[in-house]
Amino acid sequence: MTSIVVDKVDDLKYDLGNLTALDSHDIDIDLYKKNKDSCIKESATQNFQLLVNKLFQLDSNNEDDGLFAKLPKPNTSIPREKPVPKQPEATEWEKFAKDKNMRLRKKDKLVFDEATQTFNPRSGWKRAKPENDWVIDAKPYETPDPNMDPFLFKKQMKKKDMEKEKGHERRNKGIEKEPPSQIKIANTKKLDARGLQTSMKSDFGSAYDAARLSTASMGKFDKLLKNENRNIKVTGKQQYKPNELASKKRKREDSNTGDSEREASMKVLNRVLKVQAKKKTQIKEASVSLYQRSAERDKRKEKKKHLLGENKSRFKPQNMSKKYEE
Amino acid sequence: MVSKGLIKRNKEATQPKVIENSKTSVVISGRKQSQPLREVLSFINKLREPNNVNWTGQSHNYLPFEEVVEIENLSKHKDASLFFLGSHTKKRPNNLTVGRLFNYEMLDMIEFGVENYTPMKKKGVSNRVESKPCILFKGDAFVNDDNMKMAHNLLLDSLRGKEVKAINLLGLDHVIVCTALSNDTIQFSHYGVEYKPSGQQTPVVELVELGPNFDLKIRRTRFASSELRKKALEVPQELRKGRHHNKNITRDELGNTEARIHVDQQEIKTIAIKKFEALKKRSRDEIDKMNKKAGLDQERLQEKKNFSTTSSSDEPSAKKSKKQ
Repeated sequence: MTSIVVDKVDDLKYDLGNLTALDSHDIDIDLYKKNKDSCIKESATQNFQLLVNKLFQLDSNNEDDGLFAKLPKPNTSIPREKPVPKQPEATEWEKFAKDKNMRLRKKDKLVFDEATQTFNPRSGWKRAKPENDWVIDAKPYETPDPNMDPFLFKKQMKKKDMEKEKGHERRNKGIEKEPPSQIKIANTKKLDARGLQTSMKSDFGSAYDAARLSTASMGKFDKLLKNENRNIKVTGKQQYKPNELASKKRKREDSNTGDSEREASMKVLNRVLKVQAKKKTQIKEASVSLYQRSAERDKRKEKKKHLLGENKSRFKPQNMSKKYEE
Repeated sequence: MVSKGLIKRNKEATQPKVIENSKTSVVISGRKQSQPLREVLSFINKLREPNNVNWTGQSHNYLPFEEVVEIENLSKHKDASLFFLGSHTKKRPNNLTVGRLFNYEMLDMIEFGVENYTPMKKKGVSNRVESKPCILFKGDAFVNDDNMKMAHNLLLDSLRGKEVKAINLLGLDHVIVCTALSNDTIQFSHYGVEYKPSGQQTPVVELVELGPNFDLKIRRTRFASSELRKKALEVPQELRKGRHHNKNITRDELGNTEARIHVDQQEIKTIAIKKFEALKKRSRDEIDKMNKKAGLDQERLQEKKNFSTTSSSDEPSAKKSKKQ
């Protein structure tokens, strides 16, 4: 092709926003069967030339990197990835403003300060502080107690206003009340970088058990679910026995201890001896296994030699174990 | 430690928006692979370069026409709404499923069979493949046949890349051509572009054979229900055309505009009126307070008057003595 002009009726459907075109005429199948590549290449060059002609007719800016053409919006309706976001409801203040036909004006971020003749942010770091911060008019009829410190009163009023604002924020978001004070029992909200949870099943179980006991009467009078037990294992907390144990076998009625002092000390002794005994048997077993392993290794070495044919004369099939016969 | 800010930002990126992000795709290799399939998948990986998740390293036994849930979970995990799954079995050799999702639910799926594969030329291809391609379709079936219409839409959606407002015209490097050979098959071919000077601004175009060419034969399809499709094709109000098209406005032949205004019923009780402070209803406590304030203020006024009449402004000591 040597010219832009194409020998064809231009009835393609263009979608320049997506850089596509659709030619609704079929290919000549006989031509295609004869020579596939050239047939398709010819029609493709024609169609592409038409597309390029249209693209170069668009408004374009000539810049250093090249010729940038402004593309129109795409034609073909392609489905979205996610649903259309819902618009948030109007807050109470916005409804009120709508009724009263007010104009909601946004405050500027920067405010002109006459003292320093500069623009400073309205709030936060680098804001222009008021000049007479150290002086307040005394107004004993406004404070609840006429002898009250007016600076303190100002602070308290500011705090009240902030709490009121927080209440409004919560109401607008749909949160009803301030959430009750929270004590972390278990970290059940371990989050990934993607915001997905990575906590284990046991975390939830332990948190649930701990929460069940955290009433004034230790969960004694709570309603139970179907297959629930009232007995909860309180693990991880060491219970110390009292110093005064019964010296004789006769148990005291007051004390909660199960054993007398003698029995308790005997328990401890037995445990220590058990551990020692266990250790001994472990050492024995380990040594035996080591010996066995070394013996097996030697055997295997010998067998290898036999198989490789180094000691043909000494080879006696009777010495081989049953494994290798099978 | 993962910071809360990072979690928040990642979450916001995946929330629904008016103007959406460009779709991410997942390229998965199925249980068994064949050589042409591997090359096709690697080609697709390069095409979809920045917004792509490459899962061709391991084999995953996904069967979307039997269980869709696996791919839906994958898309949730990776925030992807397109997928390409390549698997090779005796019954369905060189199988390529292309599909898309809406709100992590399966929307459309088409299963293609890759036939008559010719591989890519190695010289000078890689940098071309990463730019936005031009896509050309040819054939009567793309207009008349239902399956082919959907294939046209799907291939466009998956191959077009990022939506752009302006493009460098000399950077149109490569072209993808899909020709319909019948109601079943599409011939997929990939060419590079070379521009030659003509006498005018628009150059003459020459195509160079580049990339993989193969036939795509439609095997199975699964399309979404009309309800889901309606939701997916919904356009938000901010982007609808003709936002300023008002029915109440008409234009004369002389160029004057006439309009009708409809006034709703006014709520007289809550309407905004100018108010006067003296007519405000006040409680007893408030009145007492105001009287107190007035009393105190009057005292001060008298003091000021006394000062101004008797002494001049150059005697501060006199003020002090009078206060005592």
